[in-house]
Amino acid sequence: MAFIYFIGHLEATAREYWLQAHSSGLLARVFLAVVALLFPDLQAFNLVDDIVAGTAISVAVFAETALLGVFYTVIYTLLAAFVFYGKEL
Amino acid sequence: MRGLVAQEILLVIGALKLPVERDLATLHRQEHFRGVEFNLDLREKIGQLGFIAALSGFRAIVADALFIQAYSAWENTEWGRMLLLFRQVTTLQPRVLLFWDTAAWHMAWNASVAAMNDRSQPRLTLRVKAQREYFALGKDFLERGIKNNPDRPELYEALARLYKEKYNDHERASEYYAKAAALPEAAVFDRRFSAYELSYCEGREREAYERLRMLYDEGPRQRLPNLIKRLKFLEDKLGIPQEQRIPVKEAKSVK
Repeated sequence: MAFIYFIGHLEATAREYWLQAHSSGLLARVFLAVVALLFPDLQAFNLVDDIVAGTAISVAVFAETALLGVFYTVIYTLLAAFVFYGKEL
Repeated sequence: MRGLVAQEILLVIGALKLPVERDLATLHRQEHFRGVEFNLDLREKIGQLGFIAALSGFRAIVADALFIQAYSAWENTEWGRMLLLFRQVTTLQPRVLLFWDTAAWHMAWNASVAAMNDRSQPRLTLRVKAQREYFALGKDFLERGIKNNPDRPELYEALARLYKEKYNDHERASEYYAKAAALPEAAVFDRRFSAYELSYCEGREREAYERLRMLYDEGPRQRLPNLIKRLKFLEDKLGIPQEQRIPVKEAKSVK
């Protein structure tokens, strides 16, 4: 769980490296693609550091971030329900 | 089996979410969020634990802890350690003006004086050299701070002060006060200070006089002792005709 938390914060970095086609090997590119595709971008919700520094949040940023949050919650909850449905816990 | 299917669904959904995440990241950058890039350079600067903490959303707390350490380093006059810590702090929180301003103040005012009074260095030339290096470090902090916060007037004011007090460069001081004055949240004194500094520049007295006179003509709120004093000085220096000068009563009241 903790690892997913950290990977989620690194997802944005992995995504940028993957999409910008840096001169990395095939294995590294596949790894970056898996990280970028499977994990949520938790850095997108990490706005508090900038807010305490006085940066204001616009409505567009707030709305898009909230929508992304809802999207993640729905998708990952549905998938978790799908995987664990009928299992003895 | 279900796990495999779930992974495939995740990959498909991942491809769908990518453009949204990229758009949001771009929007964040446009609005000055995500000012810190998490790369190897930052990792080297703040150490492994700090990097992990910063990654996990505790960037502000790590920066604050380092700022406190920098304060302790100041108490022990460890200037080199302070410089390193302030570089880490400002890297982590580039939008906090206090960090840039304090870092610059410590370097250009405190460390530079300590270097000049360093008894372990008998050669004056080397002490002066060290002092200038600290001035330059303070200037560098402020310039990088301005680059990260071009919309805030405070660091322009601090750089203007540095040029005035440490480099004795009134022209640059005037320029930076003017830049601060042009910003929406500028202090009321910025415009006045810019004109004061200009009044000390050889060859630009006429321009300084016109700006000071314009401020004076705005009304009693601008007619402060220093403004009247500088205006009077320039009137004498430029040989302004008596009928165009400010009233003698006001000039006398500040003498």
